[in-house]
Amino acid sequence: MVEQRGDWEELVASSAAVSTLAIELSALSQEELPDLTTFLLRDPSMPFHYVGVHAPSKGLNGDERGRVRALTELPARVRSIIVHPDTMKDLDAWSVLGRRLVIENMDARRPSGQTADQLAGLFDALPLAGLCFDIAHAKHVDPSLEGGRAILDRFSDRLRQVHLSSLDEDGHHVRLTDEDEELFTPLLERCRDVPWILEAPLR
Amino acid sequence: MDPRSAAALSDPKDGLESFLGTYGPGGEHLLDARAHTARRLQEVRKGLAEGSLPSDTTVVLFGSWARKELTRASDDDWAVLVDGTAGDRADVQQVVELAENYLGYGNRKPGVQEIFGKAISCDELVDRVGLDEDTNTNLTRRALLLLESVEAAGSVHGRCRRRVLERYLNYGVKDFRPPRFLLNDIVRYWRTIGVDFEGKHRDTGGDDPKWVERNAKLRTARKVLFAGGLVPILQCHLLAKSDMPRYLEAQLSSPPTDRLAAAFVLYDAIDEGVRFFRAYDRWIELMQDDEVRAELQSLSFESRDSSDLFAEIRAIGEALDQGLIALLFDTPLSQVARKYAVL
Repeated sequence: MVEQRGDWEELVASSAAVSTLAIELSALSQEELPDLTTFLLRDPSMPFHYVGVHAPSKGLNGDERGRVRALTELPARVRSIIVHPDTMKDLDAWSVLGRRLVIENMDARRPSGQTADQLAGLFDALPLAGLCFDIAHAKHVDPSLEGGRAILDRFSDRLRQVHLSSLDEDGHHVRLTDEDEELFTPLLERCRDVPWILEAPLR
Repeated sequence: MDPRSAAALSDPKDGLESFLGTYGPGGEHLLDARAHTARRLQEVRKGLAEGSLPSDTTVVLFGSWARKELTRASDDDWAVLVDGTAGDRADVQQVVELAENYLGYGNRKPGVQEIFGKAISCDELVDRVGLDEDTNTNLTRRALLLLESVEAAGSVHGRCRRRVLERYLNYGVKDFRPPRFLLNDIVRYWRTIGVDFEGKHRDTGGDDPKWVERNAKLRTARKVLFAGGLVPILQCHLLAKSDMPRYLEAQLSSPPTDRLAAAFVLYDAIDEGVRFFRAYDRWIELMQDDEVRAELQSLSFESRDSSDLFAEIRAIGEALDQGLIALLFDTPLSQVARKYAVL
């Protein structure tokens, strides 16, 4: 979907062709957020029961509070705002997102937010926040997935959604491999009730 | 196939406390509400004990009293239930007056539809099932007697509930199949609530001041009530028909949240149950907050979509849906749920 980036209507149509249950619209770069917010504030007709927005994680300027303020402009139909822990320095600023704030566990390349212990500090500071469990990131940190299991054991009650894919050698999200599907199944069976967001095409 | 057997079915008494104690943390607002309900029930029982009741009469509480979810703002949905016909008996009217001394004062009056706050004949609940004479009022009373009722005075509540259950279970029930007659009536009740919700909207010219509050309850407490009846009925597929009355009586003697907690455990849907009760706990927390209730009551059909509170209640409702869908359709219960709950 990289080639459709910024064409929100096209992205929505592509997602709906896969599933009408859930969508996560990603403003990965900060400059994309105003356009996405404008699109959503027009209240476009969409079939999804669950709408999430991935907050910017690239091209960030230094104004963290301004970034959070911009996210508060997202309309109420946006159920979850998914945030990378390494973009959160001023935790107090993020509390304004309340229960819409959803924190994603990170891969091994990131400096924080990888393990249950690291996430615990964030959830202590932001008790209303939810969890986006990125199972490929969990494997990247601990190929045995024991670390991923620990995240679910500790924060299962906060789980709002799953990110599902495999990762290539460079850490990019790619199609779920057969090996990963088998490896992930026991943990995914604990996540049957929440939306699974595919971060790469299934086929 | 569901690999479980009848031996796995257990009495759900205190199922919620057990679930939260084992798989917590969380649920403190649900537990607070239970403690508050127990205290208030004790007070009411003490007051009602000062009067005398005919031996065929009982005072029954419905709604949040029976769900153990009482808040300061809850209605007192009560009735004097007669194991027979109430008619215009003077002794029954005296029990109604006794109950009015302790229940429904101030803004805690039962709803304006006159379903509660009066005498009810068990005979009518049992004899008028289906067809025109089974009015919405009769259906509502019967369904709630089964699904969420608790005795505040007297001793015939259990017998009356058993009589209603027998009405459904006395014929046509097969071993290891959910009792279809009972199932259909509980599903009918749930769908009737939904349809009547729209009827009330129409009757107020689209300007129903209680639209948002009713909608919020449909998404939460009412849905939990329905699911708490549906699941035990579906679980009857593990039982011979001779075991169903005792099993259903035990289930219906506990609140819906106990029944669902036991089901999440039975079907090994622990994580989903944890999230389900976290969401429901938040709903109870909201209902315990007078300011939140006032805000909810101030919202209208037109203004709800711009409300953060209503957005959160929608999210709670979705979380409850997701947990129940996982329980019903992603566990071994799915085979019977697909066959009996859908078709």
